[in-house]
Amino acid sequence: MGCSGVFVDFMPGLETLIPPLPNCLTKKPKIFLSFGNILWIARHSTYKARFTAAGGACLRSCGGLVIFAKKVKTEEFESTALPHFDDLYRTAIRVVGDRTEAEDLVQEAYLQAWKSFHRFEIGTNCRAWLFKILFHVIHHHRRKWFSSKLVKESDELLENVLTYEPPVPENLTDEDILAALTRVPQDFREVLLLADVQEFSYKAVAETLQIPLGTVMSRLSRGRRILRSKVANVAQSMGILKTREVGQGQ
Amino acid sequence: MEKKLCKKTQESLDAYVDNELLVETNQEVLKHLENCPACSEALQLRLRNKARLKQAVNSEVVPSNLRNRIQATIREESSIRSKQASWPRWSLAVAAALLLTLSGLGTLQLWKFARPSNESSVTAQDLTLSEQIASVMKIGIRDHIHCVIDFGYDKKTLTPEQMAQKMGPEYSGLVPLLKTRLPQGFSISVGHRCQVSGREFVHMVLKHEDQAVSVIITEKQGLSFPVNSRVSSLQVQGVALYQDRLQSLEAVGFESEKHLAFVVSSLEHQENFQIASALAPTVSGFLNKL
Repeated sequence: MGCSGVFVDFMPGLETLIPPLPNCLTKKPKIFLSFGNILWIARHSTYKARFTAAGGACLRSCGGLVIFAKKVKTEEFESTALPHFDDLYRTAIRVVGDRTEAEDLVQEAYLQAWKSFHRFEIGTNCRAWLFKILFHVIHHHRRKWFSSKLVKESDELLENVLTYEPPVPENLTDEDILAALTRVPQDFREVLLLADVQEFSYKAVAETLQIPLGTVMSRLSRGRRILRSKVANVAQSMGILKTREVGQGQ
Repeated sequence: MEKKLCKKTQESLDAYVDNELLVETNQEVLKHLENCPACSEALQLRLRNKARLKQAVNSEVVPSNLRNRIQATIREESSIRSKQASWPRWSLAVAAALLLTLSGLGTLQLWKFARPSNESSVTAQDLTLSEQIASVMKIGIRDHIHCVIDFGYDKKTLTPEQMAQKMGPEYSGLVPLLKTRLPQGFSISVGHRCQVSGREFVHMVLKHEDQAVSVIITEKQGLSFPVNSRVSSLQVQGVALYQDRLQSLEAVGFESEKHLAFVVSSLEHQENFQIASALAPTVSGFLNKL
C-alpha cells in the first residue's frame, strides 16, 4: 500500500507535477522546490528514515520510488538560521563601517538564505553557509556602488606598514581596537573577522570568500601585522604609547 | 642556527595560533617555543591580540528591532509563497499536460505515481514510529551540529583537567571510564557542557585523525524513545539502541532511567554503530548510577 494521507498539508494534485526522472535516481535522491514545498524523490525506501528525520512525510511510494515532501516552514528556517544573526551583523558592520548599510546587507543575506533554504543540507554548517551568502551580498553591493580602487590597496602601499613590529599596549578600549580595525584594508579585514573573531578554519574562510587557501593564509598573516601596527598608531595618537616607543621598532 | 629557527617559528606562529599546522610542524614549533623566550613572547602577543579583537568586535550592540524586521520579512515572503501554492487546479492540469507533452517516458511514470502499489515497504505505522525516533534523535544530532559542525569542536583539544572542570564533578568520571572502551586509534579530545535551544548537554568528542564522533548526554525532560519499537531498535548487553540518519550524519541513541544518550558522527553507518555498541553499556551503566 502507499502511504499517502499521512501528510496532507499540500496543494491537492501536487504530486502530479513531479517530473518523470527514471534515469536520474540511481545514485542520489533528487530535490525540488515547488510551490513552497520541498520534494525529495529517491529510488530506495531506505531513504525513508533520512527524509522523515529531516521533517518530510511520504507522499507516494510505488514502483520502487519514494516521494517525500515537506512544507518549507518559516519556524525551521528561523530556528536554524536566526541564532547566527548577532555574528552576521557584527561582521557586516565591521566590513562596511556603516550601521544602516550593515542592517540592509544582513537583511538581504537572510532573505536570500530563506529563498534558497531548500538547498541547504541539514547537518552541514549553517553558520558557514550564512556567512558565504552574507559576503556574496556584501561583495555584490560593493561592486555595484564603489569602484574597486576605493576598497583595495596595492601591495606597495602596505609594505611601509609591514616593515616593523611595534609594541602593542594592553590598556586600550574596545573602541580603540575597532578604530584600528577600520584602518585595515577590507580584503585583510574580512579574513581577520572570519578567522580571528568567528574562528572559522582557513578552509572555511577560503570557501566563504571564494579565494584560494594560500591567499587566506597570507592575508591573515599580513592583516594581523597591519592591525598591530594600526593599534600602535591609535595608541600613539591617544598618548598611550610614546612616539619614541613606536619608533624603536623601525 | 638559533636565529634561523626563530625566523622559521615566527613565520609559522599565525598558523600555530589557529591550530592549522601539520602535526610535525606543530611539534617543532612547540619545542622551539619552550626554549625561546622571544618567540614565546611573540606567541603571547598574537594570542592576546586575537582575543582582544574578538572581544572588541563582539562588544557591538546588535539592534533588536532588526531581528524582528527580518523575521517579519521572511514571514511575509512565506505567505506570498503560500498564496502561489493555492493557484487554481486548472493550472496544475496545464503543467501536467506540458510535462506529458515534453516527455514520452513521462506518461508511464506519472501513471506509476498515481497508482498505489504493493511494492511499497513503507507503512503508516512505520512512519509514525520512525518519526518518533527521529524527533528524539534530532536533539542529539542538533548538539553535534552546533558544537562539531558549526563551532569546530572537532579541531580543539582539551587537557584532562580542562575536561574535568568543564564537565563538572557529576559527569567527569565518564572520561576515564570511556577511555577503556574506545575503538583503536580514538582518543577523547573534548569533554564539556553545552546548551542548544535551551537544553543542557554533556558532550564528549572522540577523535581519530580527521574523524570525530560525538557522545552526547542530556536529561530526558519527559522525552524517550518509543517502547517496543520494531523500527531501528537493537539490543546490546540489555541496552536498546535506536538508529537514524540525517543527511550525512549517522546517529545511534539509547536511554537510561533519567537520560538520553547519543553517538553521532559522519562515519559510515556500520562504523558509527560499532562505536555506539561498544560505548552504550558503559555509558548507560554510569548514568543509571547517577
